[in-house]
Amino acid sequence: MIAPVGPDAGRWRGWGFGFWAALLWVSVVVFCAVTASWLPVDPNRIDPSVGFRSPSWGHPFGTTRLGEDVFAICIHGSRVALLVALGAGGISLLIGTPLGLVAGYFRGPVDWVITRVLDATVAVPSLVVILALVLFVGQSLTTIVLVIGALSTPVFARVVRSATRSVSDRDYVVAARLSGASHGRILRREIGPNIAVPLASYVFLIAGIAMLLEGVLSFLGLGVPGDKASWGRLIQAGRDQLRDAWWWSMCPSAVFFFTILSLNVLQDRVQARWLGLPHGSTRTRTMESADAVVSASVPELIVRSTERGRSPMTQTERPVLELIDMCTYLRSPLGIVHAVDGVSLSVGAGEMVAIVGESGAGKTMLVKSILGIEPANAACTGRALLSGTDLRSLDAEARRQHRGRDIGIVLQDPTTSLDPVMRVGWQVAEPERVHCGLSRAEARTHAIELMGSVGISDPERRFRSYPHELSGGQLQRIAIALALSCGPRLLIADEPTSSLDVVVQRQILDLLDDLRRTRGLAILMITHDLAVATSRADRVAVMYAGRVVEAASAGSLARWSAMPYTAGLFGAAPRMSAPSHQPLMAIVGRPPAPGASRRGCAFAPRCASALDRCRAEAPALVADPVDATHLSACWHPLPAPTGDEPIVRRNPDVHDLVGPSG
Amino acid sequence: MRRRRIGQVAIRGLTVQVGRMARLLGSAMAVLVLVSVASFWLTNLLPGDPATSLLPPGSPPEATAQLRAELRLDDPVPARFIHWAARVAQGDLGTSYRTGEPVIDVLRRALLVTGELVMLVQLFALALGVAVGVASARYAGGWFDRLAQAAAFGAMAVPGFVVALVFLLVFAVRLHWFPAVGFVHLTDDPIENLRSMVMPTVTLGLPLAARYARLVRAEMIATLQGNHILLARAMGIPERRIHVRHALRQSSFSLLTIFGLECGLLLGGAVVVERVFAVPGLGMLIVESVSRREYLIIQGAVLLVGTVFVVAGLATDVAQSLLDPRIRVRGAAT
Repeated sequence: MIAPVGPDAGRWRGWGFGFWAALLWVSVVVFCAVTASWLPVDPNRIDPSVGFRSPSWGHPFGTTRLGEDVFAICIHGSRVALLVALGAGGISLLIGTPLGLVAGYFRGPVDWVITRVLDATVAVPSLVVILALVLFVGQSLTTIVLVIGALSTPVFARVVRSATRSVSDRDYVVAARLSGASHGRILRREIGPNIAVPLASYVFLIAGIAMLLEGVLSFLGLGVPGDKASWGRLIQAGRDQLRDAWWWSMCPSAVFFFTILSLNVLQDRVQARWLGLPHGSTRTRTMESADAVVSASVPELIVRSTERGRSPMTQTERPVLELIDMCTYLRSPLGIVHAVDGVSLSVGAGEMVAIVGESGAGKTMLVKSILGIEPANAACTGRALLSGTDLRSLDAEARRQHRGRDIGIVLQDPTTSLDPVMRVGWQVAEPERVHCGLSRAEARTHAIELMGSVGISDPERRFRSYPHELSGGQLQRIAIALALSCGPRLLIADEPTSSLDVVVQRQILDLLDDLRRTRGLAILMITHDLAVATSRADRVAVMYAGRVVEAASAGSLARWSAMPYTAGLFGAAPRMSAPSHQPLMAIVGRPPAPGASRRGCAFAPRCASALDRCRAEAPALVADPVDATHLSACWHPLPAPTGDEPIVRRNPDVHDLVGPSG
Repeated sequence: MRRRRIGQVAIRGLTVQVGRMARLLGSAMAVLVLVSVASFWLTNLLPGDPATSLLPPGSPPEATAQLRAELRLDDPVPARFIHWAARVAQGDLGTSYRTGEPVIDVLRRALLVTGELVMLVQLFALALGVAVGVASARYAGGWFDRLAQAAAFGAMAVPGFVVALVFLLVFAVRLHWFPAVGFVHLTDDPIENLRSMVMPTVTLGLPLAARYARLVRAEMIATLQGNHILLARAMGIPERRIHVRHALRQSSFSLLTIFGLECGLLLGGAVVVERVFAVPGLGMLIVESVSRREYLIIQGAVLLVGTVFVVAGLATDVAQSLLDPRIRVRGAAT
């Protein structure tokens, strides 16, 4: 068994090796700069007898023509580098921050003026500024720090401006503004803290830029004058001796390179850490562990599937889709999550099967597992038979060819599930172009036809629309047309109506109903809406914590439920006929946390009638003694109503509101 | 009925577009004016004066005074600026103090060289950067991605003059693959010209390619999280097609912005590389003009770089609004 990666594991490693290496290097440079005078190195000692020596123990970086020790000059050069970095960084921080804050926060004409000035400073070749100022004021360390600071200020101001802009659009800033907080207070209390860390990280970047500019200046012969050692001057001095004494300029170049690299790495890691971006190696780690999960859980799975066998929920003729003991386990920092845990069901031609469950019940992961597009940290077992072909046993390429051609998919939110920068018509045509190899013209004609058949008015014109130009209902019709592009046998609709308003919901459900009648399409619909499921589907499977806990025909489920969880779901739905003062029956507690213990019935902690057995042993999905088509996984199922008993529960109002029963 | 409505919408969209372009042009002009004023003021800070450096040593002060008057060097700076700006508005950038050659010809010669260099650099950086960025995003977290990320970091951290020196040492001094000095103009010998452009191009192009690669990678990874990519995958669209048709296309808009910005930056910022490889481009021209106090050439060069900068910005903006359908509408909606 692999120990789960706790949130604290790798608190040090989380920064990455590069960060610590960079920090170490920068610390060494700073240390050298501070203590250079006391270190046993003398950059000024001239001894022509040891001139032009290549690197050795005595002179790690070799010597110059006059026998100066390159290493010693490098050590002393770090003082200039540090001074320039601190000075220029400080100047750009002091001037750039207020400029950027004001421009980003107040916008309007203030922003316009400041932005134009910043643009102009970038548009003037920095060389002209440097040359003019340095020649005018005269070469000195102060001038150089000032000039470099002035040149890096616009860079910093732009960063501050864009950070401020993005933060000042956030809800809490708008709320503060509406509640009458003063500008100063908002900038100080709301915006400041939220941009402080990423901006502080940019100081490292600016320090790097400043050092670089100092190098360029020295290289052009405009650097720090006098006997002050600087890396740039050393490189410049050695460049004419490249052929005979490469170390003269190459060793300081390497020091220069590593320092700037370290500063960039520090900036990158601090910012990434702040934004919560994963460290580069995250994906590899999860992929390795996914393999480990498979090997760890296979014996267990074999036992379970032989024990449980095939679900009795199959039809006599061969179903379009048949799932047999589908399991999907995810590796997460919380441990192994049993997202889908032994789901078996089938969908026949012209049939609509609904899977109902709360968020996190594993519905969407089940769909992804069927299609073979589960995330990299998932391990799937079980069989998904499409007209008898096991999709899970196919290789990735063969499985891809089935997707889209034999299975159509509709996702929840049509506003995000279409490509925002592609005309919708070409998106509808795309699967056909890919899978059936139609020409552009053929695909276009067919796409327009399809769009018309799913109820898009004026499909010729709509073909050229972009997603943002259409309404949610129209987009979901487009998405359905896209799913039907290749004439699939099976349509998997993952919450196809959840993001739509009620009237449009009904239209879309009518369309789906119509499609399965006229085309004999098998539909697997994922929903969290019990009313939609019982009114539209032929059969309904209720999922809880990755397992099917109850499965029955829609009619049967509308009358009674054996499993307390399902009963709770029905009780929690508002009913028009109930007196207005009657409180809704909420299911107490919460679904089990991902990675929680899997012993016993997953619903037991929330179940009023749970006994010791429920907590110890997981119930299997078995048929009700009275109604053999009604399956439930419960040790204490509620009894089926006998024929003459009044109907325990119906949901007539929601029913009528949504549409005719399926 | 509908046709009329469409017509109205189109006209409104057009006026909005025209208004937007007018605003952009206004900003561009403002930037150019600021650039000119700043550069005029800066060149006047330069110590020494062109008149003394033009005349042979020991010339009588009367000659110097006469030359100063001819060159209008005695006028106050604002008056000289207005005089210069008025001439520029008529398309006259003046003549070189030393040779009398029109500034515009001097600039054109240098621009041809630097322009070619910038184009080669951009081609090289785009090809390398986009290819590496796409491959990194495709195998994010894999060995190639990590290697490419590390290399990009290295390429961005290494100062241009260091790369230039290393190249000189390795490819010119040791291997003799490329000439160390001796620039050949495109018009003289295209092949030799390309040979002398290789090292400057790679020196300038590597860090740029690294920036492009990082940008493309980040954008692609963000785009690939999208629901439309999930749908495309679920519908069995091949990964290659998803990456190129959906992810790269959508990610290319911000690449375009940086591309436009870099055109201007490269034009004025190639000086170190030009100097090391002895390329007679715009950067070298500026350095020489500063040391010779050729005020008018400096002014002209700064104006040229600023204009390219602003025009590249405008062109980027227009290209973006033509390519990205979301911007097209955002403009029409406001």
